[in-house]
Amino acid sequence: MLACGALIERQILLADTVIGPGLVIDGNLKCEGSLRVDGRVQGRIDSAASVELGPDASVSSDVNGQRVSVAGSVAGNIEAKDRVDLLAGARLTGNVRSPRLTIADGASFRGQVDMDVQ
Amino acid sequence: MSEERSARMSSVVGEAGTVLGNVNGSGDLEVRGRVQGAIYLDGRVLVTESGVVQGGIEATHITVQGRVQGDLIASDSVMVGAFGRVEGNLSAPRIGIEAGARVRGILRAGDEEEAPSTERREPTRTAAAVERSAERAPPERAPPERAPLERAQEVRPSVDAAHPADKTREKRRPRRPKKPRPPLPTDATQASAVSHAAPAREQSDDANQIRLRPPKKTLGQDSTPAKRPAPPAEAVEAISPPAKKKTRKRGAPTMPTFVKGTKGHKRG
Repeated sequence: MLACGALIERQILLADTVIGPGLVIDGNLKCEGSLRVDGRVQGRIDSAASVELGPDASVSSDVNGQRVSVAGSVAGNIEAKDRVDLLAGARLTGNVRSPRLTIADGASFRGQVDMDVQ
Repeated sequence: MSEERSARMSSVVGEAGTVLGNVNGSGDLEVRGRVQGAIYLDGRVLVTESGVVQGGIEATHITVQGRVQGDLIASDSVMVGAFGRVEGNLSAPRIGIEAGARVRGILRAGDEEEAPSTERREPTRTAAAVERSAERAPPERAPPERAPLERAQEVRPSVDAAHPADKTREKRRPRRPKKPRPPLPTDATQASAVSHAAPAREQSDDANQIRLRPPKKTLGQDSTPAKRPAPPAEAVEAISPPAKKKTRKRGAPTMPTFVKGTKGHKRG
């Protein structure tokens, strides 16, 4: 757990784009690098690298990324080329399209899963 | 770890990041990438050299090292760095622009709306405002309050005194007097006419007397000091416009009735 926490902390620091808590974006977010969201995004999120949605994050549209890990709430479809991780406390209402998917204990998920991706 | 965190702001739009839309909320924001939309933030905003913002920014503190196409409004300060480029208006209590920065827009420094912190500056500002209003449009702003008029009296002589001091600028000299001078004789003549006419009406019509009372009182108050001939003229100049306006206003309500009458005729 400690190692995992340290890893997450490092990822937060290394994230290219960070949307801090208390920040609201009324629009789309596009990012070539990694992305960490702790605020609210009322639009699409597109990232060529990893996308992290923190426990306080709330996204009300689709999320696309290489790797998507969700600890907050998402109301939209998630599509990842690599994998999708629904962490404890995550709330997802929407479909998941990804070759790999993990759903942690305590995560709530309502939608369809499509893992038949190249 | 904490050093790294403090170095970065709570929110960062990375160099390869793009936000298509408005950014609201609280906290600090560092824009290294692109934001195509307005930023309303209760915190600091830093646009780095690689950052581009195509939209206005409203925040407590704004620092621009990159490019911004939009208005910058800060409740604390706006700083434009040496590599900053701003195409828009800046308005903040404090504005700093480093050498090398490119700014195209109107600057508004100094706090206008925050009354508590500006108590000391109020008198000078109001005097300046009165001065402007008196120079530009005396009939519109002069009437409502008498206190500003007194200030205007205090300010005006200094303005008139300042003009002869500008003997070096002879080219501008004819321009400046042109604005204030034309109203002076007209107002003075009108005012004298009013002052002469007022007592006559006083004796004749009670209704007119009642109507004329407010301006007459002011005239009486200002004209009582006989030792000063100049101030009354100025006071009259400032006060005479309301008399004009009132007559116009009185005339105005008759117009609609007349129009209605014409309409009725047309209909009939």
